[in-house]
Amino acid sequence: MNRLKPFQGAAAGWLGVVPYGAFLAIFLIVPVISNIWTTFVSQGRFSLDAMSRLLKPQYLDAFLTTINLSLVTAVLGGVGGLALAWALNAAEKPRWLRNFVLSYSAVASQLGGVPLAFAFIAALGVQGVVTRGFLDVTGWDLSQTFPLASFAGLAIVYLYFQVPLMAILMLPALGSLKQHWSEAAASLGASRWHYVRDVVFPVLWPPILGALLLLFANAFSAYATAYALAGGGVNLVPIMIGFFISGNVMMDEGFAAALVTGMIFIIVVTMTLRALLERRANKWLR
Amino acid sequence: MPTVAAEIQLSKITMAYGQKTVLRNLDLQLKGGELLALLGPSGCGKTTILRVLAGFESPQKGTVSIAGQDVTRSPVRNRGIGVVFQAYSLFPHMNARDNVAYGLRIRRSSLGKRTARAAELLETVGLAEHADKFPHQLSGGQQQRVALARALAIEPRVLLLDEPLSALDAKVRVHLREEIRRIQTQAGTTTLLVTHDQEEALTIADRIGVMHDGQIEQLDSPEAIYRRPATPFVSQFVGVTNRIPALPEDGRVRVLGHHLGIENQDRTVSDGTRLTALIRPEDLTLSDDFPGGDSAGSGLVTTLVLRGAITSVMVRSEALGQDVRVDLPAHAARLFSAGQRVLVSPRATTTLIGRDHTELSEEDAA
Repeated sequence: MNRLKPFQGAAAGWLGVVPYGAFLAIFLIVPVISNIWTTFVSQGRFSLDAMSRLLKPQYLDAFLTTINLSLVTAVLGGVGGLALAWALNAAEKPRWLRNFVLSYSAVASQLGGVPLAFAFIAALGVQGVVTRGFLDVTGWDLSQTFPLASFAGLAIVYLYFQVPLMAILMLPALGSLKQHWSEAAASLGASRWHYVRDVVFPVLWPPILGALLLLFANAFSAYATAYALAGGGVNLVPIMIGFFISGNVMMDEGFAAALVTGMIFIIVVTMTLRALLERRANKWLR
Repeated sequence: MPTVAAEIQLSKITMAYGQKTVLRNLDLQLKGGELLALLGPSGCGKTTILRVLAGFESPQKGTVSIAGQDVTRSPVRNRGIGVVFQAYSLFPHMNARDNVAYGLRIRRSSLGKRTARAAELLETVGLAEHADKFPHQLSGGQQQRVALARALAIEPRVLLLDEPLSALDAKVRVHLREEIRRIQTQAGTTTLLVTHDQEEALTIADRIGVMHDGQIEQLDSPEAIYRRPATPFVSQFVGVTNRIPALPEDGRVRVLGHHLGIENQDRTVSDGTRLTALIRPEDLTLSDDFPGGDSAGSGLVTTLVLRGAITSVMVRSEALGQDVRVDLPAHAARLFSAGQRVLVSPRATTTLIGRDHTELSEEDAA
């Protein structure tokens, strides 16, 4: 049998990395570099104009509102999703219901954009079925209390994909909790509360926090749902970027790139934290 | 290390999972301070007994008493038990010291007291220098030692070992089982060991309960279990047994041309029935001498397998149409070689008998 020479072996090893390299290049490196180039190079010259405009109040406000919305929906979605994941993990029967909820959660976690927005308009919009029904029965106009084109309205809609996304993200971690841990804790004198406090929570907090960071990033970059529901009604960074890319009046690719750079910075920080937490979680939940 | 030697009594335990009854009216008693091993094939109910005793399962009928106190309905945490599981069950986010001290922390012992106790126990299991390591930094054997120290830290009335060595490699297993025996003897804690490894049970237990199909077939000392098995199942499950065709004759059986008494007289034996004599390889002898020309036990040596101090000589018997294994001291086996014609004879004058090929299923034997 012919043996590979050392350099051939090394080359074969590097060949295996090509798909990862290609993926990173196409989906991360090239777009980020292009974006940074567009941000800092204007008409062939280095410029900080676009970045300095980010500090103007209306754009800072857009970042703050987007961060707020992302935080609120990540936390609320995280709580709801964790409860759903716990139920899915604990309840074995009926099996069909568990499987159905699991499948639906997987689909719903990716269900955003215009269809979701329309579904909410049809249900909770001014002329929505639920709104009219509630109005007829109680005299309470839900569309006035929770207008969809508002921060609260957007938060409710976002929860429709944040809750199932959290559930799907947390299921593997919950499944990694070993029955022997709870039995060992009980034999050592621990109550159910002791076990949750001393074992479950310390073991699960890294994946919980990691999943919350992903929910944050997910909400931070959501565009279609927000635009379809609120248009310019809520000052969000993705909607603003849309205006500067496709707007007839406000067209400004350089500034759009600056806004994207700001977003990239926040997302990269978020994902770096998540990667660090995952390393810790993986060590424990093998 | 303090001695806590509680007697344990399981009375008329019936345990079923859905339609499947795993234990039926089972009685078991452990003397204070003894190490009793429950030995049996997968699915025989041995782990269920341990789980009932621990309180992880509630029996449908029967009572569990520890030190004369009925704990049948007591929660696990109030039973005063220490458990070492088959799977590594250390808390992954705590280092070895914190794992060992956890039970004392729950009992609100002072930090100084629990740290000292953890250090003492880690010293006992030979891991004093690994106190700061986390489970993922320890080998399987080290993790099980920490688990043992953790279980002993609370000074349990009963120590339950659920196949604690089966995930370890052979060398570590042998070493650790000796450690377990030493530490258990030192602590004097009544201990129930569940295992499917006969060597493990034979080498460290005071008594062994051999289980089959939810029943304890024999409960006796390791010596008695091996030398005087009460049933064909025990003789075949513990140690190696030759299954040799036997013909009943006047209340005895004819095996390899010899008349042997029947040890298990509860069997109804009538002339003409096909029977199987269950004879251990070390209870057979070999010779190259054929007195009187009796050829019932004759055969050809096919292979010799060196097993350290003994050698297994495999003899192909034309009359029986099967191989017979004879274990001889290695120096005695050197007198024989492959292809040599030999005569196989039983040493004893009695034998256990079983029905033809039905006493032990393939799965049980595995």
